[in-house]
Amino acid sequence: MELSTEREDGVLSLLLDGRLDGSNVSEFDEQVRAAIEDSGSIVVMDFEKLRYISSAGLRSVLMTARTLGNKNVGFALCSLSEQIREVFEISGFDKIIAVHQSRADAIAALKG
Amino acid sequence: MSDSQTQPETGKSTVSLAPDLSALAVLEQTLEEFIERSGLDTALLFRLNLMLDELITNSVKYSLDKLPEPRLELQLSVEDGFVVARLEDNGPAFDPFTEAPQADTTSELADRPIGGLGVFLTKELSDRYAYQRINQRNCIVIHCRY
Repeated sequence: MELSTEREDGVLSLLLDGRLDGSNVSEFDEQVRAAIEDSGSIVVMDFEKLRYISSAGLRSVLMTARTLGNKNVGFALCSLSEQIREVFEISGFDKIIAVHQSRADAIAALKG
Repeated sequence: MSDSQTQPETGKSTVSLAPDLSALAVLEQTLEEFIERSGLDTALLFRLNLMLDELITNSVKYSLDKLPEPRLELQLSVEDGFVVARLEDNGPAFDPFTEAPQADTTSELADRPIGGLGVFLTKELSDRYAYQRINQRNCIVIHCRY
């Protein structure tokens, strides 16, 4: 699992690459926590290169959504694979976290 | 650490997994090899990986960590249109399908509890799931149609 960040015009993009599961979620949590300390007003998690996520990863995403919600920072996910999207839907996460087709769509929606 | 054995006549594959979270990387590799060898659709990989990941993670975190000699074993086979995964550990008796906390998939973000999701996903993504206590071992069998 590799996490990279991009910042542009008040938007923080978190790009996930690889697999997110119980074996690396603690390290991922730490990195996300550090990155969103200076979040700007919008955060997008880009799943384009994420090929696998388990419930440990889903819990982590949920906690990030909560933290940002408490700070009134806009948060959305984008570019989920079909299988990851299915897991989100089964878990009911798509009802509480915004999911978009592309990063541009996510940013446009959050900027309103 | 793993040692994998395949019996060609039945297509069964048995792997001993390390009783810690390093088992997850071995799991992925084992499933990839099994799917390729059995000529199955690679779309099965994600589903099988997720279900077994959740069960192994539970076993490692809540049961095997308390044992002096933990054992965790996975057997994979193809039977009558199903991939059958059999996961055994020597931890204290625990049926995740009835004893794990119920997942909440409908509450609002702020109120959503965090437990039970892994077992819930396993139930949803499998076609059949079963638990048995056999010879002081927890034995979970998952059927997944292909």
